[in-house]
Amino acid sequence: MNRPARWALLAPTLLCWCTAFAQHAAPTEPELLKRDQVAEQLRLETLRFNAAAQAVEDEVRYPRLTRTAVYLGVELDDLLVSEASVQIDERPVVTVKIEETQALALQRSEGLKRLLLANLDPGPHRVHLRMTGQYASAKEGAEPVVMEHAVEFEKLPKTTSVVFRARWTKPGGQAERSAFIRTGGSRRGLDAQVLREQP
Amino acid sequence: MMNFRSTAPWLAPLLVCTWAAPALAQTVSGVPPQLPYSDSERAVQTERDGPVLIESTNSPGFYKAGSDQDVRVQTAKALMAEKRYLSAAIELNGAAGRTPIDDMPRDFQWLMGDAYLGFSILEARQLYRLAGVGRNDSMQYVRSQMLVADQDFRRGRYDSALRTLNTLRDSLPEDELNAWKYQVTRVLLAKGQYGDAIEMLKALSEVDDGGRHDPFVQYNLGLALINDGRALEGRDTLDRVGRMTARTEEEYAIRDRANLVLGWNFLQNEQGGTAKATLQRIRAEGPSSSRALLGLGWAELQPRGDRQIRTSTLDDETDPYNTMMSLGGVLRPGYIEDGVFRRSGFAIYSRAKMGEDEEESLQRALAAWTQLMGRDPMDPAVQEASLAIPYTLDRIGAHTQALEYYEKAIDLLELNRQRQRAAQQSIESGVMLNTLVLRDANDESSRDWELRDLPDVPETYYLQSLLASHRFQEGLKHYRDLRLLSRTVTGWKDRLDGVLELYRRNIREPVAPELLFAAATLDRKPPRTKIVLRLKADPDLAPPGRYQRPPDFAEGATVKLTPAALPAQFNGSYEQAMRLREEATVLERQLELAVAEQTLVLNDIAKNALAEQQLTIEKYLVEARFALARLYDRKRKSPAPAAESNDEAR
Repeated sequence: MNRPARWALLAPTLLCWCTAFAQHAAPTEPELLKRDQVAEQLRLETLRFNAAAQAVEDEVRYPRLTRTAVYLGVELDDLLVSEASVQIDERPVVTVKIEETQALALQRSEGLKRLLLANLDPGPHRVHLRMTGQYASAKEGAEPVVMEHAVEFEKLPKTTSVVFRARWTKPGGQAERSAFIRTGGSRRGLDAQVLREQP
Repeated sequence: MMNFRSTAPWLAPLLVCTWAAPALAQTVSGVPPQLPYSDSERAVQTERDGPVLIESTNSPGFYKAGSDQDVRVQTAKALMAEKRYLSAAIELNGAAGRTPIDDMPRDFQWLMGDAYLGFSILEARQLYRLAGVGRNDSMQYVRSQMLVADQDFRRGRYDSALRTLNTLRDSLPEDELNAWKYQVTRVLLAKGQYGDAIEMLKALSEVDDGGRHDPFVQYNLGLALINDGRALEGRDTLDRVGRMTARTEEEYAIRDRANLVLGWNFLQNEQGGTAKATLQRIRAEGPSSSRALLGLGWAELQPRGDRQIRTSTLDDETDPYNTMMSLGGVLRPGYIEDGVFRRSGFAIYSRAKMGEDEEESLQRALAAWTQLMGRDPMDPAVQEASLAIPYTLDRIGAHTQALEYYEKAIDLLELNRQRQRAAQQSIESGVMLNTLVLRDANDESSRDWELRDLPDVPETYYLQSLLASHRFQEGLKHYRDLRLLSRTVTGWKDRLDGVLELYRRNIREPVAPELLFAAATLDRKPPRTKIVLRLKADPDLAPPGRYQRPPDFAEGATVKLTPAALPAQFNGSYEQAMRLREEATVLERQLELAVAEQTLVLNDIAKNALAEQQLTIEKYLVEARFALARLYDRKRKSPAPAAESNDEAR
């Protein structure tokens, strides 16, 4: 749309706003509240639109029957992850770079980062994760910390999540029950869980 | 669109699944209806240096939607820790799905409230209320309400902030009392209710922190007292802050600020002597030093005034000011005469008609102002000093140098005028706002976002105090968020086009009915296990309602099936994508308009602030030119430069 035509279209709305601008020098509290409410409504609508569009896109590109998500979490209090590489079956390796702010957020929140979404046919699959990072307490020039773990699972025709977590693990790869109480032989490593939503 | 030509009426419910993802799921042949997981569990070490465990799961774990174990909730938590509130809110919306928020777990509601806070206070307030039903004395509820009040305060909605804070008064846990009081006083001070604020600030200032009082509380108290007309008490309080021993950069800054406010307050009351002593405590390098030097010069030219009367004894005086770090140290007696004048290229003048005291005062004022000459010419203190110096030189009798300095002042003010015009153009063209938010354009931190530093352009320097104000910062945040949202909507237009294109191209094979059946029955407990249902492909079937022949049921069939009603309006992914695509166009237009409105509002504020400074520069220019003309005129009428030259040659 050319510029004059566009402005002609917007003119009625701008006219209303111009009235608001004239009052802008010292807006009263009810005016501020009203203006904020209108703006907030627009923000809210946009946020809901974003969520709805995301859901539709996921539904189409990754139908629930085949949707598989791979996540990474960090429960070690001084590990900062810098990179994670995921390989599903014999597919090409997908490498995700993790910025320092993300690594800190991941470690502090003990939340999860979604590394990728993929379509997997129901049946047996194998997901391999290689994670590179460094301990906050490591000396300068120290070798990076590398952890690897693979999980084999049977994909069901439902959304499936494969969650890898860096944590204290018992021999055999099982997670320690508590981050503070550790049994003999426990080590820092990755463990994996395959999860799906409770029906 | 649809690839399935027909199906038996009793499979109508399954049709919904088929239509919802038409022909997009991948076909997997030979998948049995139930998919058992492997029972084996083994851990295998590879030959690599770090042993790779290969784990086989025997059964998947489950999480309840919206619970702490929900992977989307955990993803949202990490996103929030990263201050990506928009992505977190989208993730949480996805986790809730079609379940009403009222039915989601409380912790989920808290989390969603936190994510929404930056985008909609009203929505966040509602979510917090929902989560806090029956728990309005909990720490979590109190903190959430204080966050809401803080957002209201920052946006200038003081009544609303005060209302929220007042509702907490009776249920406030002891630990939060001081934080609550501090927040209430901020609102009261902003509303100009100094009397009420003073009472609360006094109570707060009694809080002992290892033998010292919070200097920020004391500073606010001092200002509130002065504004309330209790100047003596207020000055005493500010004096206490101005004399404290600072430990951190923030404390140094607040100490300087207290001394600056106090010093200028004394100047306004013509107490030059006390003003001078106060201003000399300020650090030689710091945000308050230029204004302090300007004030010091004026203090020298003022009558000494009455000595400040203190309402309390100051037992914490350690006099940390007589160092080279403070202005008192830089401008100490003995140093001025030998150092400052020579470094500035001034000679010391003596004028017979002037009293010794006055001459000395002028020289000391000159000493303070000359310190400013090397500083940034855009600083209003430097601009004022550029006029004050030739004025003083003229008073001392150094007319030639006064002339020279007036010309320099005019150059400096002209330069400022040009820069201000450039700044105005930058504001009007929208360049300023764009530059301010450019660096963090995709930052989703919303409520936590703040302008970390200013781009190196003239307008940001002229508008420093405006840019630091809550009013402007909140407006800027609003502008940033709207631009971010607008960009996301524009991005979604392409993505939704991609989704629709995927449907239209229809490149995937239809989903095998067995797989759909398996998915539909996976978590369903069969009501009658003995009934065996078998599916067969029947190419002769027609769409529902267009059957050419009756169904071919075997005789003696006991199960009677009735066709399900067709949905009046189908709302599958394709239809949703179409609707969202249209919505995106409307939303994009609305956001464009909102951004345009916000740009105008912010530019309006900035231009008003700049206009005030432009007016000052114009006034200074008129003064400088008038003084210059007066000096030239005087020189023309009494051409006797020889005597002055002799004077200067001392």
